[in-house]
Amino acid sequence: MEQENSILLEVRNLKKYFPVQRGFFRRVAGYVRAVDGVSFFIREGETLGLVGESGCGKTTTGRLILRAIEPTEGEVLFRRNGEMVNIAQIPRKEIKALRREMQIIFQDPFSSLNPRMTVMDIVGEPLLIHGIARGAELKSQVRELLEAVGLKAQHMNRYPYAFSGGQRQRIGIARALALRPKLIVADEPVSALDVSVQAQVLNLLRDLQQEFGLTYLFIAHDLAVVEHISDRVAVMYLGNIVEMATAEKLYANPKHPYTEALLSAVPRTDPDRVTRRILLPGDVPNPAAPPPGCKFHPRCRYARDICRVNIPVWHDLGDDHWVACHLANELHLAGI
Amino acid sequence: MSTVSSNQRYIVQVEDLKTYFYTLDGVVRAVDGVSLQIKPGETLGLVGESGSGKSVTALSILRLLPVRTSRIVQGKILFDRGDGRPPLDLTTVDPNGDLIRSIRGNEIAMIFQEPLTSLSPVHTVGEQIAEAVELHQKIGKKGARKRAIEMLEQVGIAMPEQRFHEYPHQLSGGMRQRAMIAMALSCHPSLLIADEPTTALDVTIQAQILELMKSLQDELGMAILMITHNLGVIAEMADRVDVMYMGKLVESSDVRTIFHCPLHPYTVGLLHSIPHLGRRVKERLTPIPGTVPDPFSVPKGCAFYPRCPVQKKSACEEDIPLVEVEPGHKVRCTLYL
Repeated sequence: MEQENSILLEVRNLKKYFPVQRGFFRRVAGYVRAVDGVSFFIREGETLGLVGESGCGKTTTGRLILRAIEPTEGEVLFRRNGEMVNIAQIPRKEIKALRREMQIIFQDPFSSLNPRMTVMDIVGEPLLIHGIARGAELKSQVRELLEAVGLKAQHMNRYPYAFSGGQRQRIGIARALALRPKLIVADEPVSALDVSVQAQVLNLLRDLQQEFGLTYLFIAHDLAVVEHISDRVAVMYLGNIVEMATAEKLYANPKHPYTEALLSAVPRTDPDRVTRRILLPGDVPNPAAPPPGCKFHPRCRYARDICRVNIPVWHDLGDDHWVACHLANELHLAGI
Repeated sequence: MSTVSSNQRYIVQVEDLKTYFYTLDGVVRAVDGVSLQIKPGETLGLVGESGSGKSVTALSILRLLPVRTSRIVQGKILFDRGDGRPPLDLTTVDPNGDLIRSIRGNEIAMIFQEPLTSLSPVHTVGEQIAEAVELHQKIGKKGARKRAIEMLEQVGIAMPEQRFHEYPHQLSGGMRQRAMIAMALSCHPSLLIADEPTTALDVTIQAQILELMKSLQDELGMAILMITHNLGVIAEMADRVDVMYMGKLVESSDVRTIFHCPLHPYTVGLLHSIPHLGRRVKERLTPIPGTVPDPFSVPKGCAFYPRCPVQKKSACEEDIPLVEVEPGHKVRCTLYL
């Protein structure tokens, strides 16, 4: 996995500001800084986990990469035929071709499948649209895809309602795989599923990654799930990535106080392991009016004067451990 | 069933409860013979996946189920009001009568998963808490208002006088959940039923709420029935755990035993299928095969039997009793008969 693998996706200073409109004339009263200057990269064949609490901008980041929404600023570089192409800049009519390279798996297996389409239509649609297969060939490809995700091919004429949540998620995965993409953005793919079914889907995603050589951006809020599936993990807070490292390092040896607090907040599945919990005071601030300096400083127990004034720089501590904190070199934070 | 020793007092004792729903597609046996006990000051965790009947058990205790489509067909819910008299059987109480209304929200309170849908959007947070207090405690309007502000303060809401006048939509998710806890605890209930109280919240807010519930429990000494599918929350909060599957209890024991030596294949399966935080070895998860069965066609005998990875016997298709295999540890499985 290490340095030899080439970078498939590199995001540089990506921003998305949503206008807040007020009054009768819908005047723009301000901007919600959903994604406020995010930089990271994903190597080919690896899984990057993106964690954070609701409203931190992780889903928006995923959609910006797919260009499902237009970025306000920044670059999204994606390797295509050996060269890095800036997805944020390519003309709209080329976006369709881009969809063959990157696909998404959604959170909610109920609303993300059209109830009036059969499984055959749902999984076959991307193949039809891109003119890859028709007729008997289409059918056989759909059959293969369904078998790859562990569904019975003879069920392909059924409608989504006939399937359970876990099975629907498998249909969504088959659809994402249809075009043999390189990158899959998985946005909370297991959080709507029952505990016993979650594990089935997590194992499936892993098997498919090996079989098809997939690269995942795995967006989730469940830290245990992210640790399990990811090679590297990035932590987001209020529109910024505050820390990024290998899963082992990030969980054992966090460098950002927010990561430390987040890890300490997760209830352990062992009644004997009492956690020394760091309670963050208050709530996540309004992303339309974030605090100055480091956005985390009002809730940070280590905050100093510099944190209230200067925005911390996103830098590499060495060994691929990135962090945005003024005190990263001084603090000794507790991991798991 | 265990016999109650004379000095052992239970706040609530549910005995062989069966709550069925009657729908156009057939009968759903949502709760199918559940027995559970909660002692004063204790936290009982009720674990299960969606559709296992955990919420229906809670709503049966409060008699909050729809009268037209559901019925408690069997069983007792003995509630000790602490007045020296024998426990009251809540199944015999009129679900719309004065008696249950004097208990609901007063002696037994409940907090729900989604605070936004369980608070009234057209009344201020303070009014809603004060209303509950005024209804149950004879302390007048002013007293109720004062108590509401005290409660808001106690659950850690800053500037309670100001928040009193705010509407639920003006509060964040964590604050709304705090407000709901304030309302639930405003009459000092002896039993608090918490149905997935932190599922809709982020982990850092969840941590705040769990700490809050623990400290308020220590202070007020109430018993908690904690309903959740999150095993981490159970490990942290519960003293004892009951595991439910398709309307039946499959295992019951103290929290350590459930996590360290579970016996029922379903409990074992649940614990193996979740990733545990901080486990550096990335072994493959062992999922439970198959899916939760359709509520209209629950398998006979052991409902888990078709998904069970352990050797199957013909006895699995018959009714299996909940057996006490060691003191305080009960399992419903043919492996331990």
